[in-house]
Amino acid sequence: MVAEMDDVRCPMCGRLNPAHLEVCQYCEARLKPLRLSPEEQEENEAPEEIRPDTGGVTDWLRSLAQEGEEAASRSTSEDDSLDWLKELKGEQEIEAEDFFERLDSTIGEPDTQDWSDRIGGREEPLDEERKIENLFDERALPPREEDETQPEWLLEMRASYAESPLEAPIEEECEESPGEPPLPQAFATEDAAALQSAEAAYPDWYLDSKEAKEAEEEQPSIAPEDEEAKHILPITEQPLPEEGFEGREEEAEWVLEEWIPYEEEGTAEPSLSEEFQASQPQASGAVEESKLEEASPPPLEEVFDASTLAEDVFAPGEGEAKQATGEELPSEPSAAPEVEQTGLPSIELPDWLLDSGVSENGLEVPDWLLSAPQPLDVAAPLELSVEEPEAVAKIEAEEREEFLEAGLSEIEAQPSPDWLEGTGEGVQAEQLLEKEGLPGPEERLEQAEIPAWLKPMQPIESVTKGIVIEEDDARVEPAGPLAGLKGVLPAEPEIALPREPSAYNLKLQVTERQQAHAQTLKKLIEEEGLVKPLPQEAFVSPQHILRLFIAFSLFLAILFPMVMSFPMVERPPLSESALAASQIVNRLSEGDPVLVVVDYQAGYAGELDAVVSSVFDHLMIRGAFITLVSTSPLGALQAERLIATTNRNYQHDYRREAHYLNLGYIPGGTAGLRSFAEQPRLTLPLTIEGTMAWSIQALASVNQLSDFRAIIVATEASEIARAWIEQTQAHLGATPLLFVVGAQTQPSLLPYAQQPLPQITVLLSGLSGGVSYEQATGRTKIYDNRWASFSLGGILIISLILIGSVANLIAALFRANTPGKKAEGGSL
Amino acid sequence: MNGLGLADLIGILVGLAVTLMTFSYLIGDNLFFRIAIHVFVGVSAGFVIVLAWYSIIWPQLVVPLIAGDLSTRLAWLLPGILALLLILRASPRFAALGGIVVSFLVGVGAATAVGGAVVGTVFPQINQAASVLDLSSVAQQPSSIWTTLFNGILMLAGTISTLAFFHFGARSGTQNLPRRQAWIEVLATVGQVFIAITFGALYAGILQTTLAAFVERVEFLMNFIAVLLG
Repeated sequence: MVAEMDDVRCPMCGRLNPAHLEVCQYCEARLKPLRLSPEEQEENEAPEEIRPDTGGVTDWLRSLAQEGEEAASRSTSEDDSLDWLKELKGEQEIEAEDFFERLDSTIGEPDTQDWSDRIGGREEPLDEERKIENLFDERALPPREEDETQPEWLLEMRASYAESPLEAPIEEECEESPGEPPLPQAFATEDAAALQSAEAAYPDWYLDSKEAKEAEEEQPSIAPEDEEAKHILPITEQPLPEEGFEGREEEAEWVLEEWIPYEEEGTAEPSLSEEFQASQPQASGAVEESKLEEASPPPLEEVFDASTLAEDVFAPGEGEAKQATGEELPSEPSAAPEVEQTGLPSIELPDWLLDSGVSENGLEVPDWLLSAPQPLDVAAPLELSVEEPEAVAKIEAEEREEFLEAGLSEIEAQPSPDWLEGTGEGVQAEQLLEKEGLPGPEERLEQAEIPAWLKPMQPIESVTKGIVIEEDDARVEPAGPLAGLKGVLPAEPEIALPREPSAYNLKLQVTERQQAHAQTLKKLIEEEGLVKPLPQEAFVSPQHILRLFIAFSLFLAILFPMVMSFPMVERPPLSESALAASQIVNRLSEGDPVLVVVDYQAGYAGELDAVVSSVFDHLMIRGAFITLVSTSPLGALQAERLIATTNRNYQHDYRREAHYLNLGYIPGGTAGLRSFAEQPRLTLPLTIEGTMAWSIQALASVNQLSDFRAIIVATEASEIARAWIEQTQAHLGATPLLFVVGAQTQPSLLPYAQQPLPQITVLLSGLSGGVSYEQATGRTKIYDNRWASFSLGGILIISLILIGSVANLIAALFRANTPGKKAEGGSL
Repeated sequence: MNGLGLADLIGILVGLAVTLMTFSYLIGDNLFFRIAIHVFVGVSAGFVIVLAWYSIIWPQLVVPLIAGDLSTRLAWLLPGILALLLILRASPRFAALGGIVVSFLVGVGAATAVGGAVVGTVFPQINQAASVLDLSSVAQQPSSIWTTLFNGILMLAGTISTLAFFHFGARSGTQNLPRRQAWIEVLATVGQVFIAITFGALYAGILQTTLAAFVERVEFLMNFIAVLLG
C-alpha cells in the first residue's frame, strides 16, 4: 500500500511513475499540477517536525492520510478517493444553500494565516515578494518562514492555486467553522461560489483533515478574545480604510508592473494577492476615489478576476490587523464582487496590459487565467459604491441567486478532474464565456499548435495514419453485434479470407507416347467402373446357328453309334498303366482292406464313374474290403452312388459294413488329410452312418495308412491329387497308390507317374483309361456303350477345330490381301 | 420297368428334366438353364450341411461332450469353444474373437501345405528332372538310351525355355522400350511353344472330359427312352 502511494499515475497515459517525477517518464505529461490545492499548500507549509516518517510516501500525502485518520469519525469514505466525485452532485445544492446561510452569519470573519500562506506561495522569493511580505509585516502578519523549505513545485502549485477562486481560504471556515469570526460580507457572494466549487473539488476526508490542521495551527493567529474581529459588520456599515491606501496603491502599482513580466516570461504566475492589494483601494474607492484613480494603473475590473480579488480581500490578518489597529476595513464588499466579476478573462485589456503580451483583440487570455475557474456573474456594477447600500443589497440578492445557479453549474463541472473527464478549467471558462455571451475560446484564440511532445500521444492519428479506408471497404456489416455498421474492420485479416486458389501450370514434361499410355490407362480405369449393357443379341445370328450346328452335329455323332448298336471303332490296346493297375488289384485277396478315395464332383461323374466302376468291378471281383473316404463333402455321396451303380451294372452285391465301409468326409482340407494319413482311426472314428468304423473285422488290422493294401484316389482336380501325393507319401510305405483321374487332370499328374521313381504307382485317366482297364478284367461295357460315341464325337470335335482353324487362316489371308482391312484383324 | 423302383423312376425323371434344362443353353441363356444351375447349387449346399452335421458336428463334437466321460469332455471342450468362436466371425462385433481360430486354421493349413509341397513335390521333381540325364539311371530304363536321353533333353529344354518365357527382366532398348536380352528372347520363344503345347494338351483333356460327360448324358437319355419304349 505504501508503494502504491509512492507512485503517481499519469493522467495522460495512466502509467505509474515515481512520486518525485514531475513529468511522466513515458509520455512526458505533467504529473503534478502547476497549481496546488490549498490543502497541499498547507501540507507543504507544515513544519517538518510534525510529519511522521511513513516511508517513501510523499510528505503532503502522508500528512493528509494521517490527518484523515484522525478525522475518520467525520469521514465516511477515506479509502475511496473518488467518493466525493459521486456524492458531489447530490451535495452541491445543499452545500451551496448552506454556504450562503453560513456566509451571511460569518461575513467579516478574518481569514486565517493559511490564506496569506497560499498567497505567499511562489517559486522563488523574489524581491517583490519580499516587499509584499513587508506589507504583511506592516499588517502584523507573521512572516512565512517555511516557504524557503518547501519544494519549488509545491510553491508553484500553491501560487497557481492562490490565483484560483476555488482556493478562497474562507471555504473551510465558512463550512466547518461557522462560529469563527465572520468574513467581510462584501466578499460573501464571490467567495461563496469559489468556496462552493472548492468544497466540491476536494474529498471530505481531505477537508476534514485540513480543518483539523487549521484548527491546530491557524487558530492561534486569530485572537479569540476579539469578538469584534470575529463579527464583521455589514459591508455597508463598515468604515472604509483611510490609511494605508496610498501605500497599498503604490505597492499595487508596483506589483502590477512587476506582474506583467511574469506573464511574458511564462514563469511563475504573479501573486494576485499583491495585485489586489494594489487594487483594493480603488475597488473600494469611495473615500479616496481620486487618489485611487491616480494611484491605480488601469481599471482593476479589466485586469483581475473576482477570485483573485476575493483572495486578496480575505488576506488573513489584514482585517484582523486593521481591527487591531483601529482601522476600519475598507468598505468595498459591494464593489468586490464587481471587481471579481470584471476580473474574468480580460475581455478588454488596457493598453498597458496589451503591451505586456496580451493580444490586441483582447480575447486572448493568459492560460493561467483561462484555466482558472471563472467567477459566475460578470455584470460589472463597478459604478456601485459603498454609499449605495440599497443598491448593494439588491445586487447582493441578485448575486446570491445567480451564484446559486452558477455555483451549481460550476460545481457540476468542477468536481471532475482534468485527467478524468478531459474537461479543464478551460471548459469552465468557456461555459462562463458563453453565459456572458462572449465569444468562445475557439473564436478568440488562434489555432493552437500541438507541442512536439504531445504529438506522439495522439493515439488516433498514430493508428490511422497511412490507413486509407476506401469506399469499397465501408461495407455494411451483415451480421453480429455490429450489424448495420459501415466500415467495420474484418474479424480476420485479409490474408486469411477464403479465396479461390491460384492456378499453377504443372504440365509434366512427357512425350506423346507417354501421354498416349496415360490416356489409355485412364480410359481403362474409367471403363472398369462402368456398367456395360449387354448387347442385344438377335434370336437368329451366325453365332447361334454355328452353336446349334455344332451341338446337333455332336449329338448326332454320339447318338448314331448308340442307335446303330454296333462297334464302329476298334477297342484301344491295353495300356501299361491299366495293366499295372489290374496287377495291383489282382494281388488283392478277399477281405484285404483297400482305401478308395472318391474326390470328384457330380459334374465329372460321367467320365470318372465309368473308369472307377471298372476298377470297383475288379475290386469286387477280388473281394477286397472297400473303405470309402473323401476330402470333399459330396465325395461320400458319390461313393455310395458309385457302389450302387457298380452293383447294378456289374452284377455285384456289395453291402455296407460287410464289404465296404464309408468313412465319409475328412474335414480340414490339407491338414485333415495329413491327420488322416498319420492317424486314420483318430481322424475318422465313425462311419457316415455314425457307427464305429474301426470296430469292423476287416479294419481291425488297419492302424495307419500303410496298413491298407492299396490306395485308390479318384479325383478330377489336380490340386486334390497333389495333396494326396504330398501328404500321404511319407505314410504309404509299400502300399501302392493308384490314381483314377479325368482326362483334363492327366497332364498335371504325369510328372508324378512317368519318372524313374514314380510317386504315383498307376495313373488311369479318362474314358480311354477305363476302356483299357476293362480289357484287363475282360469287361466290355464301357466299350460297348460309350467308346464308339466318344470316338466319333472326338473325331467330330477335332474336325470342327481343324475346319475352324482353316477358315480363320483363310480369312486372315484374305484380310492380309485387302489393304483396307489390315488393321482390323479378328476371326470368325 | 426293369426292376426300377419308384424312387429310381423319380430320380431318372428328375435327372432327365435337369439334363434337358441344361441343354437348353444351346439356344441361349434362359430360365430353365438358370433353374437347373440354382437347383444344383442348392442341393449341393443342403447336402453339405446335412453331411457336416451328421458326419462331423454331431458324432465328433456333440456326442463326446454329452455322452463322453470327463476326460473326453475336457478333451473336446477346447475344440468346441474354438468352433463357437469361429461362428462369431459372422458377427462384425465379435469377429475379432473368431480371428484367433481363423489364424490358427490358416497357420496350420499353410504349414501343412508348404511342408507337403516341398517334401512331396519340389524336391522329388528336381531330383527326377536331374536324373533324366544321369547315364546310370538312363541305362536302367526299359527304353533305348537315345530315346531316354532325347526325352531328358527335351524335358530339360522345355523346363528352361518355359522359365525363360516367364523371365521379365529387361533393359532399355531402342526408343527406350524395354527389351530382354537376345538369348533370353530365343529361349522365351521356345518356351512359348512348350507352353502352347501344354495348353493344347490340357484343352484336349478338358475336351475329352466334357465329351465323356456328354456321351454319358446321351446314353442316359437313350436308356430312359429305351425304358419308356420297353
